[in-house]
Amino acid sequence: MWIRKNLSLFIQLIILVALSSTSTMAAELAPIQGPVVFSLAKSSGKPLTLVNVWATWCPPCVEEFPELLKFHRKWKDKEVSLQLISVDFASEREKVLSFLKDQGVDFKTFMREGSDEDFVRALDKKWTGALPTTFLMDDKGKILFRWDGAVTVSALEKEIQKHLRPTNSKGEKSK
Amino acid sequence: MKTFKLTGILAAFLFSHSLLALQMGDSLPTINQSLMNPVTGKSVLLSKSTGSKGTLVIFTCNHCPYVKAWQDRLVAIGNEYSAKGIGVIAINSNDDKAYKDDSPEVMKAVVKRTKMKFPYVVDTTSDVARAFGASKTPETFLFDAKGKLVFTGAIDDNAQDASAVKKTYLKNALDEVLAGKSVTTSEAQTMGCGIKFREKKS
Repeated sequence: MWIRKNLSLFIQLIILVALSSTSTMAAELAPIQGPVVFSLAKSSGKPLTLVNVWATWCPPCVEEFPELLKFHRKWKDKEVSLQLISVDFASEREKVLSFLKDQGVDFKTFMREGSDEDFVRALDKKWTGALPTTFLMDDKGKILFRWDGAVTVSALEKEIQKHLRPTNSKGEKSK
Repeated sequence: MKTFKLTGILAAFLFSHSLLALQMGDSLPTINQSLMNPVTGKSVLLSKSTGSKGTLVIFTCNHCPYVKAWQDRLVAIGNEYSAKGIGVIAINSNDDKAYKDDSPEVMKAVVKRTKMKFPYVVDTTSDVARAFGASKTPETFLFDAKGKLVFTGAIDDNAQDASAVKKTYLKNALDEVLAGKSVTTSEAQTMGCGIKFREKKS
């Protein structure tokens, strides 16, 4: 009897875990602080990482979102990963999740934690904090390029190709 | 001729890019463009909006949530310090074709609702924002009595919650300017809505 009851509980637990892991396959929004952003590039396993900083209240951010997702679908199995960081106010979390769901985002994304000032300073002192902004980072988290304003797939690819050129024996990019 | 061409190209580049923001100690830009005040229906010049003790230029708009979050605090600061000898002017450089809420009609309503006592004007070409290197709203530029830039950036350290503010950057800088002291914190970064620049007419 005891075994049967606990087995039932165990099965329920397994189902719950399975369900929760399925739901996280949809729009996931994890907290992130400024300095940790660079570790996303370091741990992505890709030579390049795009970090897009956006908000639901920012019309150009919303406008460029489909382009970013188009880019993601095209490059996710290649050399570039995409990381999305929402800087919406914490009270807007549900709105952000709903937006991500509507856009069909099925990968882990992030929501800024901490003060604006700390976040902006940690990412790039030359960045004014204007949205949207997209950073291109190498696998060491070094910022290679920054787009201020909305981006397009072609604009992203034009810059990315410069950093994906094969290197010679001295490690220099081919011309 | 070559030098002239190069200077022209460089000037066009500098003017068309907002990346080159003013640096600390830079003078208030000399701009001949008149700024339209929707409330009075009259045009004003930036050079005529300076104060004897300093000048505060605020790039702002109506639609941005960050502006909305800070609006009451910003208006209170502007009203208080314009009465103390600081020239205060709020400038909307956004293209209102992109953001309908940034139209002069809505600006008039904002002035009325917030009881703003300083001019809130339209930068009809966005060239004033370009000259300052302003990139977002809200963004403030504070000049001392000599017209030198001494502070730029955020109003305080908490846009969302006025009751949780710990650092009143702009107010502190204004008090220091009025007291003739050096500004302790000259830059305070924050998020904001990128300015939707009007396209330059060729």
